[in-house]
Amino acid sequence: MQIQSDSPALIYVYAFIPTEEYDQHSWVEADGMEPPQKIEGLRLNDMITAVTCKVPEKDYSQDILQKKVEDMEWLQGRAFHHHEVMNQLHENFTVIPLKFGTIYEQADHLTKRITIDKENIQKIFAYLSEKEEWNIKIYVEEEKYIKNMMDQEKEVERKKEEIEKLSPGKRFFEKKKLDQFAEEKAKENIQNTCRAIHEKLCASSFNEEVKKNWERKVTGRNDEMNWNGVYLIKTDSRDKFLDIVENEQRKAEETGAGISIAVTGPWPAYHFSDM
Amino acid sequence: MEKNAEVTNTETRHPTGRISLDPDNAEEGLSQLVITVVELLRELVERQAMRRVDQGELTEEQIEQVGVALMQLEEKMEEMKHIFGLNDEDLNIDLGPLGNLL
Repeated sequence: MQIQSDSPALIYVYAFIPTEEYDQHSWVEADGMEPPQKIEGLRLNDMITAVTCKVPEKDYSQDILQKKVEDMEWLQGRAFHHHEVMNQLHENFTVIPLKFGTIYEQADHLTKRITIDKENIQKIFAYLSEKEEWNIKIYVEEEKYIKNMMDQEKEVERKKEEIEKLSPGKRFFEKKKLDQFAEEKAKENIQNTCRAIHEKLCASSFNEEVKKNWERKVTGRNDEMNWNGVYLIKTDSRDKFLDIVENEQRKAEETGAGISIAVTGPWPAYHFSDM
Repeated sequence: MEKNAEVTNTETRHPTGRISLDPDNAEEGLSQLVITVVELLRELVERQAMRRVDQGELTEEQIEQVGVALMQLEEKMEEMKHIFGLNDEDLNIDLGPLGNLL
């Protein structure tokens, strides 16, 4: 790839891949962020190759880009393209994915930056080699879970009968207390269940991270997210990892307690490749 | 992409974290705001009453009176929500770093 330092175009960087792998695989031409510009490999040294495309300065200079990303219509397609490119790269290469909107003015600046971070990037390549990321999200229909839990507690049945015999005012407070107890107990049980599943997954993972749960307005689901874990696994452990997930999914379905386990992957190691 | 793949039921009603006060449906927005504030107060009173019952600060007679009053208030709130076409999620405002209102 030839880049003129006086070109009005900027360099959008998707990811870094090892030069050795770049040399071994044939490069399929694909559209870049702003067609007709194509995605290109920019060999920075004999260890590191940047996956790049040219983008116009008028849309991607720092000040303008900050405003553009607030335009959801503009952002959506481009963020999706960035993500798709990362997935395609991950099929053939060890990938260090970069954040959306990583842009350099000149190839020289990128080369300088890489020279400083060279050792660190090589360490990350070695760390991520033959590995992939999977995401596990555990959702719970809390009402269904609480009902299921309470139906199995004989003590609760007895307590309910006692409450029904009380006067209306006292009955109100006792019912509230029982509901409060059920809610707290359910939260505790759900966390224990999620943590137990997590521990099993950890046994087949190289690394893991527990992320913040997403709210319903983000997930668009009716049930509540109670666990959001990311797992870095060796590619050859994938079957073992997914067997554990499937087993837990089956168990969750059989108990009918409103728990569902969503698994997505394999992804590039987004959460394990901080530079 | 992952998020897109999981977002399948976008028609389901979810809290927006905002009270709608645009000129075209100001009445609806206002009723939502008023009911939200009333519900917040109702829950605060209920919690305070429960705390006092637990601490033994109320006589048997007072427990009965307060319990019945709170029960009727709760029923009335359900009626109001029904009349204005609101559900529990509509009354829960996202206060950002402070969490949800209710």
